Amino acid sequence: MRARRGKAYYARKVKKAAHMLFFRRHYKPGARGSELKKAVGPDYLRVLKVLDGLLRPLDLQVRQVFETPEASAITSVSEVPEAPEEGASGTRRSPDEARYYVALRGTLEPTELKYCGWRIDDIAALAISVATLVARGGKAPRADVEEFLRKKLPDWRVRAGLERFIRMGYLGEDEEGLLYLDWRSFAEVDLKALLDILLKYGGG
Amino acid sequence: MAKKTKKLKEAREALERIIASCEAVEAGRAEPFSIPVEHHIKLVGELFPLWEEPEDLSLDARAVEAISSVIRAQSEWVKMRSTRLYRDPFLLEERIRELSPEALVAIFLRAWHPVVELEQMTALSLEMAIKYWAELPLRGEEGPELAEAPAEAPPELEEGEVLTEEMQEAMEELWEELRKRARGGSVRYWDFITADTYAETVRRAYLVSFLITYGYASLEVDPLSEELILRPRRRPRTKPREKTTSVAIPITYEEWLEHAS
Repeated sequence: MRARRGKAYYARKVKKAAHMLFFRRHYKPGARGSELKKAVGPDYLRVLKVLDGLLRPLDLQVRQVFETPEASAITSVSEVPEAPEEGASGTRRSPDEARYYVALRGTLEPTELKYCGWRIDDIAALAISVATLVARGGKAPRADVEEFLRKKLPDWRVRAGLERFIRMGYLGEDEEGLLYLDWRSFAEVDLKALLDILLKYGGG
Repeated sequence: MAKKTKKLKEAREALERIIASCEAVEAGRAEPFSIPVEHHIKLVGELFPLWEEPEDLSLDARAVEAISSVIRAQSEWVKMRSTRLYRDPFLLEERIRELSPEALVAIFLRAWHPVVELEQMTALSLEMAIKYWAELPLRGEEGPELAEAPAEAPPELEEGEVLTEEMQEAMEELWEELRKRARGGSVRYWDFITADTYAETVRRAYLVSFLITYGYASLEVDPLSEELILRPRRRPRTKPREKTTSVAIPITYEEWLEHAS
């Protein structure tokens, strides 16, 4: 017989999960499913859904991101089934393998960028870099991305921008000078929406 | 004998061409399906009986590995096109080209949901910081050399101002100044960084270190006078991975007084 869980039981667990997701403890923010399982318990997905509901009025959400994303759209934890998810390759992916973050549910206004440490040019460079890499199937030579950026931005900003995006985890660079989308792009950018809006913007 | 040697040479060249074409796919310079994989496999099979030397067998193995990487790229290509993410790359790149940076920002902001994170001090990190501080070697019996330098408050940032943004602008200004003062040549490091105050001198030295790191200028040693000289580049260095050396230049208060006087 399954025991009925009281409010206090979840309140304790929700607090613990919130601490783990908000406070950065490793190189990457958020927490892995396996870490949450250990600290919060096997019903951590249910706990995260409660936390997601509590964060909704603050325009925040708990998000599930797999390290090797097969689905491109951002997944809110409230949409996550509690049984393991089936990946595109037919393998079943356990929620324990995913990483969970707290992220903005809505979007930012251009005027808010300055308060987040970004300027318009930086975001334009990030948009061009991410969109170019998605268009090329996820990776492209650094020189090609730089060439694209130089058409819109001054040279010194291109170089500084790319280094910053790599440092922050939006982009990665391998030994052969190929740029690829890194974990933060998958965690923060709804790539499918980005492409859709890009193609439809201004009636294009 | 000469005929056999010539045949071997041609066969090796054929394998090297195969490897080069497959590597072009891996480097993103060629489309995966532009490589005639079946033809390559057949050719590698036909050439195999010729190989006797370990170097040739190694070349053969490299060719097989390169072909398998192309097959893997083809598989990823097919997977990519079957996902919801696939859009015509040409169309997308055209859209990126024709849109203004402002329009691209507006588009990106509609798809961007930044992660919320807090960086905090913990008891453990405090303990580690204290341990690190305690283990730092002292700089002489009299205490830190900088103690005599008059304390100047750092410039205050207004609300919403970002230091990195200021840094980039300051770097660009200093690069312009360096180019003007060097007039196509070079300028002595200490002459360039020395300012009216010690704090400003340190600030200039700090910014110059970034100009050098990011390839806007080079730091050299004059072979005759053995003085450090700065040579601005007309354009920042495009190859960031060239071999570099780190140089530590102490900027003490006494040294500043000596150069400023």
